[in-house]
Amino acid sequence: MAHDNSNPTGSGDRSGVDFSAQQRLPAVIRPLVDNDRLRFSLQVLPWLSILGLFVFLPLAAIFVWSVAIPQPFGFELGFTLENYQAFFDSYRVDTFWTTIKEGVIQVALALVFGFPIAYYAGVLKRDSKYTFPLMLLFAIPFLTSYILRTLSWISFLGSDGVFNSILLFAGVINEPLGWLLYSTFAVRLGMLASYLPFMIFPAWLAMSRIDDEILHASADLGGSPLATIRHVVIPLSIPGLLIGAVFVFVGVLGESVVPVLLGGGNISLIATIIDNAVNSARLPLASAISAIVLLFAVALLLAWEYVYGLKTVGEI
Amino acid sequence: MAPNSDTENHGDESRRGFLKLAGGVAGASTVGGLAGCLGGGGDGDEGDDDQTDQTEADGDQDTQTDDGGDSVSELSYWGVGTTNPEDWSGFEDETGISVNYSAAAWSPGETVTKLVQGTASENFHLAGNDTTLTGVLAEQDVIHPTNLQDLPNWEHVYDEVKNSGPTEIDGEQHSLSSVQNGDSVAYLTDEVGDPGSIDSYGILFDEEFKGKTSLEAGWATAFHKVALYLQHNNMADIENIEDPTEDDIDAVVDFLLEQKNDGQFRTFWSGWQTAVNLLSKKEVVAMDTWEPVVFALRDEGMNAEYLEPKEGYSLWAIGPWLTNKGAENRDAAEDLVNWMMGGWYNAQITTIRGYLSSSELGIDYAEDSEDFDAEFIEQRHEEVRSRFSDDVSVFGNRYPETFSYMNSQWNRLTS
Repeated sequence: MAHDNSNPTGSGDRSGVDFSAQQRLPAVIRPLVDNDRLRFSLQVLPWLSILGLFVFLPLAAIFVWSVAIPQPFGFELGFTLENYQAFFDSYRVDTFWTTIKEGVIQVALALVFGFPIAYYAGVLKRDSKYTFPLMLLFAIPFLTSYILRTLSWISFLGSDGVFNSILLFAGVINEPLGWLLYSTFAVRLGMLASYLPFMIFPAWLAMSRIDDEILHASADLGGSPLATIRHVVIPLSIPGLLIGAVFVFVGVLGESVVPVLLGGGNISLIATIIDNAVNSARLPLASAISAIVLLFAVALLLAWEYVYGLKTVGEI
Repeated sequence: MAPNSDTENHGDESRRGFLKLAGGVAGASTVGGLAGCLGGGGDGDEGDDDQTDQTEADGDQDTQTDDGGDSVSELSYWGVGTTNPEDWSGFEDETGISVNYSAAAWSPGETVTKLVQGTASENFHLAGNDTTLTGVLAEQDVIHPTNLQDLPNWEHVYDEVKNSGPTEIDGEQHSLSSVQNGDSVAYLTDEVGDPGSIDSYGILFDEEFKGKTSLEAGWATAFHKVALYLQHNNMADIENIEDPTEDDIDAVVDFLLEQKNDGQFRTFWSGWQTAVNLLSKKEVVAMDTWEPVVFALRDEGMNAEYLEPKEGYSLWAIGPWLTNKGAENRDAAEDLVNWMMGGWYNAQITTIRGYLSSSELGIDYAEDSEDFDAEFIEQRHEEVRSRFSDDVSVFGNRYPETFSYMNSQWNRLTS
């Protein structure tokens, strides 16, 4: 039943029966509900409160601390830009750009490895009873300790690890490959193993919701499988791919375990720098770096919206 | 006193096994050192227990004192795992007071922040961390003098421990150094050479072992070893190793950056298991690390040695302070400090950690007990005491005036 709030007394009345929910309310509350703006405000108040409490309040604290004045044993609330200066005038800027670069690389790798898996499960084998259980296997690693999972790579990548042993046994190499571990390669591999499911699941969900009729229509119109992927599957799964890309990229922005355990000091990401600042009792500096990372991520989303427009995502 | 069931089989093999296991626990709690890369640690809120309030005064097991503060049935101790004997029941058996232990990271920045800015001094009766923080914490009034001289076991504490320095402020003892060692480098003799021919930190920077050496990710002891090496060999002008200036820090970090860029280091390690694995898997052949790593390697049948450097050891000590809360329950808190100078605690700490505990009572206790290897404890005590009395080893300040600069530069190195 449609309600015309501009006429609260007329439209809901049929055959003497009042069907309007508003009109069944006590008279004292009715004016509040009848007011569109007020009603909207009341409706959004709960989630705005939750958003404010759990999201914006901590963020506000970060921005306030980022301009606080550092003291020998902490900081004093006030305004200074020296924390931002300490970021821009140091090696930390290079680490920041390294992080952005590695984030982009991880998104690309996750797409390369994740898309085929999602396509296979979400399109080609969507009707198989084994698909869902098999996809859940990708979630199993999340049931174990992240640190231990990362450490386990050392057994595979080390000088006497599995990979080197196989290559040596096969005669492919004469001595262990040192760059497999404590290197940029090891960090990229470790992060890919960690973040691949973040791409696979949303992409799979997006693809599995593409209507069979549309896929059949593409084939009926003479579209090859590749043409169908390009003109149908990819456009319709972009919401999932986009969410996956955001998950992976944001994950890399916050990654501090893998570079430390597998990088051997050869590569560092910004989250490690933030950790170091916190552990050095430099909370304002850590906050300033966090604020910069946050602003960069927001700017990236705004740029995306400006260039592509988020509202058109998912359209063919 | 109740024997520790974990050490009932007192054979050498079992002791080694226990040391390895416990070393892992110790290592886990000191993971990351100053870099704080993976540092575990107690939270400032942990261990806070309202049961310790004076409202418990009527309890049967309470320790009522005349002038030593309020009585308690439980003491909360927030300390580095190295000082944790894994079993506090002996103290409870003696005093009726239980100990609620919370692990702390060996992280000076975090420790100072939680005690000075946070509420750790109000939450815990005792806090145990690097003794070189004593001055700065006393200055901020978050720790209080301990009447060590009046405690029965104080007279048995080694002079090297009493005189190690950082625990005494303006003539007043603020802490017991309950666990200490002089750190250097672990190396594999089959790869590096015979102990008779190896006597310098130079093995870490030897081109022959390029890509096969490693430094700790934190600077707590690594900085001082490298500074000793550079100073002793006239490779850099180091003004003050214990309280380094910014120029001193630059000299050390620039040298290490050059080494790193040349590919000298395989990695910067953090954590007990990583340290052991790096050497046992021969990823590295020489590494700046903790001495118990050598014991663990020997347990695995490897020929490993701990360097006796001509440049001197990097000395450190960890001990408990009386916090604001502890000062309110002074008698009970000091009873625990006294127990930490006693026989069982000292024997246990050296057995499971391999480090020097504070007093000779540990050896005496071990000689009368089937649970401990008195010979091993005595040998370890002698070895480490000699490091504290030589002329070259340094006791570096882990919270120097240049603390922020040090962290910043060291992070530049390890990033």
